[in-house]
Amino acid sequence: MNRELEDTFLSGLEENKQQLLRICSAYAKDTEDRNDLFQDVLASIWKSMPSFKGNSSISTWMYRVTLNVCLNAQTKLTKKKKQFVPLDSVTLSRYQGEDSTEEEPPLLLHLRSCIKEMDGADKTITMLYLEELPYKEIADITGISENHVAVKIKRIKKKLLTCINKKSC
Amino acid sequence: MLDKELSKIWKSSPQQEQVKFDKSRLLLDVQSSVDTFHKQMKALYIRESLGVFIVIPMFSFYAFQAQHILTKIGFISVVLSALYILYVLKRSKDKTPNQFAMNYREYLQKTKEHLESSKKNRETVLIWYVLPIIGSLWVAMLGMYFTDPEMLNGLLIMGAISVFVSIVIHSLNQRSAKTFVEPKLEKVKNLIRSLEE
Repeated sequence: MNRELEDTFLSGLEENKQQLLRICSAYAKDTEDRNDLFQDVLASIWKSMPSFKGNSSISTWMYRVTLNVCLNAQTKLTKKKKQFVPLDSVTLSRYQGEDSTEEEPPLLLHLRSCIKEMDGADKTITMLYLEELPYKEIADITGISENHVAVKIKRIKKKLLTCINKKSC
Repeated sequence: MLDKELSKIWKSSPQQEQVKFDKSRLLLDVQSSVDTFHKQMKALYIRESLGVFIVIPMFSFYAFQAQHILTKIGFISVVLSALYILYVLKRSKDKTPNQFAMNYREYLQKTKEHLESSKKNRETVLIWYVLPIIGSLWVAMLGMYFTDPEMLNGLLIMGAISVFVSIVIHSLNQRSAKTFVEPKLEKVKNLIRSLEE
């Protein structure tokens, strides 16, 4: 792999690591499952790097790989749990700031729970929307038209707000 | 609630875990992980094909040694059936989606094709796997009987065992198609439907 791809990989990861982890969280059953999934995502991104031609931004491309790896984890026919060996150079640690002992706000818990309850395609689009990706990028990642994305997001927002309000009551 | 507000909630968590990379080791680490994965895949393919690679020279030799023409035909058919099984397995393996960089919709379509093919293979295992092998063995056994009629009892036992094994293989594959592959296929179909609606 050439130096340019290595740099693209590292800078792309640095820029998107928290977003990718959040996506893995939405698809994982528990923390251990999420960590395994995240490591699979990293290895798969690296494995797929030669196919990155720069036609889209590295963020869009990484989101695409992440979503497909998450889908693959749910539909693969091999029973083997881990696809790749664990990566020792990746650590996940709690943020040691003033807020680290704070409880998660109920609104966030409701939002997460509502997203978990969504069906697959809505869940995918919701996450991309919450990551504030432009419609064009969401269309590029999911393979549906921009107009279709806009219609879906309008519908999803309504569903999401109803769900959050219901849980808040 | 405003869009920005929702996004802010989604992104902010006091208990959020921070991802840290040891950049000097990360590249070596992921490369080693990918290499191990490729080795495992290769080993899996060899394991899956091992039976066929054993069957081919063994039954070719038997066919060469056999006295009766039916035994020869039967053993050659076993070899041809084994090659066909290898081809079906490879064709199914080639449909496995492994291009993660395609868009979500394309990936869903590929996954659907792969699952449909796996389901079909399991449901039709009797046709492409069991019957060609068992049928060929029976022809070979018939030849053996004509060569030496005293072998009848032994051949009948072997025939009965082969029927029993066929039933087991068929039932296991039917069950796997129904309980393991079908739910995954339905899930993917629903995903495609909900993405398109």
